[in-house]
Amino acid sequence: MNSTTASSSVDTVTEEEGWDIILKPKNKWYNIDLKGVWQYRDLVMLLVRRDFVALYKQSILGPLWVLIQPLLTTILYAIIFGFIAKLPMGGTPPALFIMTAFIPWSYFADCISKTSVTFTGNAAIFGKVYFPRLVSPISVIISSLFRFGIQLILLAGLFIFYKFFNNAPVRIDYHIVFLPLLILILGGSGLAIGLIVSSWTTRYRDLGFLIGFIIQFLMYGSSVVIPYTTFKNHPRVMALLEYNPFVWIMEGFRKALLGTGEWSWFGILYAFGFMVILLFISVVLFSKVEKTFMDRV
Amino acid sequence: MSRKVISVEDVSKLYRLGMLNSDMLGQDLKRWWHKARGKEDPFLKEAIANDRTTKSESEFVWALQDINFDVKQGEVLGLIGKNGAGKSTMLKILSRVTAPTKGQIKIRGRIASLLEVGTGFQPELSGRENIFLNGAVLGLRKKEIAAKFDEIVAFSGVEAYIDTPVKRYSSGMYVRLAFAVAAHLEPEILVIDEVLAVGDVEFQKKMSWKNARCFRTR
Repeated sequence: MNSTTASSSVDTVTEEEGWDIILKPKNKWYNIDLKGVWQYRDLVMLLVRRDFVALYKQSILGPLWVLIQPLLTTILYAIIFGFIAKLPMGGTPPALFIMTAFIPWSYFADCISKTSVTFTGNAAIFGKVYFPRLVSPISVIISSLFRFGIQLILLAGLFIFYKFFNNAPVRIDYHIVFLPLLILILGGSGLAIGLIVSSWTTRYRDLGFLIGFIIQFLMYGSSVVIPYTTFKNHPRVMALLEYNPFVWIMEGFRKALLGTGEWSWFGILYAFGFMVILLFISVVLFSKVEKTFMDRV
Repeated sequence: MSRKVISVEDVSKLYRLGMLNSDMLGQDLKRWWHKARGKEDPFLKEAIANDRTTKSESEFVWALQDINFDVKQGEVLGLIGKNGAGKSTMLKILSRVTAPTKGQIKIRGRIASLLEVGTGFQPELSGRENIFLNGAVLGLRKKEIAAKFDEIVAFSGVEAYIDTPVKRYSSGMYVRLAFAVAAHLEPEILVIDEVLAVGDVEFQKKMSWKNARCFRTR
């Protein structure tokens, strides 16, 4: 059999032959080993645990850093965009306004930046043992989700402080029941973008350097620290921002948690579709690259 | 007659030599263009046979060329050869770390590979945590590891330090623990690279006993 006709790596083969695994030069594009990932679910959870335990060992404040980082960043952004630039935040205290979007945004950004080093960062272990490579980025998404959950407690604290001690005009909206959908879209898109970057950087590292800047640029255009209503007198900018699916996610978080953002079902379904397509492309690409990336990384 | 459990058919593996640089972009685009039109990869023809003693013009080399062999149930097969002969490359392909450039390999049964001891060990985690993590990396379920946990610890002989981070271990202890996990994998097919040359005399004896048992029962 020669390589041009050989394809697909891990086919479960017909009964009469009874082979369990067939290794060939290439995968068929649709041959994605999700079943294998499921078989390795214990590894996923152990990696999540490892991320937690190993990260903050030997630091005095330990896991408190999960809270300190967003708090300090929020204060900084609140000073710049709230008090100095005086962007329109609908009467909401700037710190609360910004943190409500910044915490979910950091979850998204974490998902991208940590999954984008899947191949380059795990080369040592991937080079010595086989397990479905998707296990690694999926565990990153889950451990970031835990961190996100802890940060939501900080947000709740800030909310209580402003609402009950400063009478800020904020309220929790019934849209809060849809928050899991918004989080799913953020995690899914973050994973997808990370996988694409990871697949592209096995041979050429350039995109890896670029992605940090892209995430930052995207943050300024996603209604995180600069509310998109800032541009209401610039219809062209507004029109452009409306194409950014993450604007609707961030606005959604504000609507649900503060009652001030704009809840657009159209925008959220658009973001959901965006995530599905991106995930599909990224997983196909990732599965193609994972077969031989060890020869290039 | 025992049946075949591994069948290696016309397996070849191509590697690129030299530095990865911007010339590659051009080469990659050329390969991609050839493949997109359904033609054969132009660089496959240029590649040379594996000979490390003479320097050649080609940037590509065949680490393996048209390898064929079968392994039957119950057999123990050893690959021997000079440095750079392609032994480890063969094992990497068998253990799915990388794919062959040509040919195919068929495998029957649960396969595990030990190309290195302690793959995936986390220095910050304790011996206990690492047993679970390493076991899972090697394909065990959590409950399988839990069932064998005491046996693994006893085999490693590091009971006293099982809750100490492995970065504090001596290199011997580290290897003993890592090997203890690997020795309890109990796969149907075990692929081993040169990982057995570890530990002190006492441990060497223990390992050979464990391996002998492993081979006998298959």
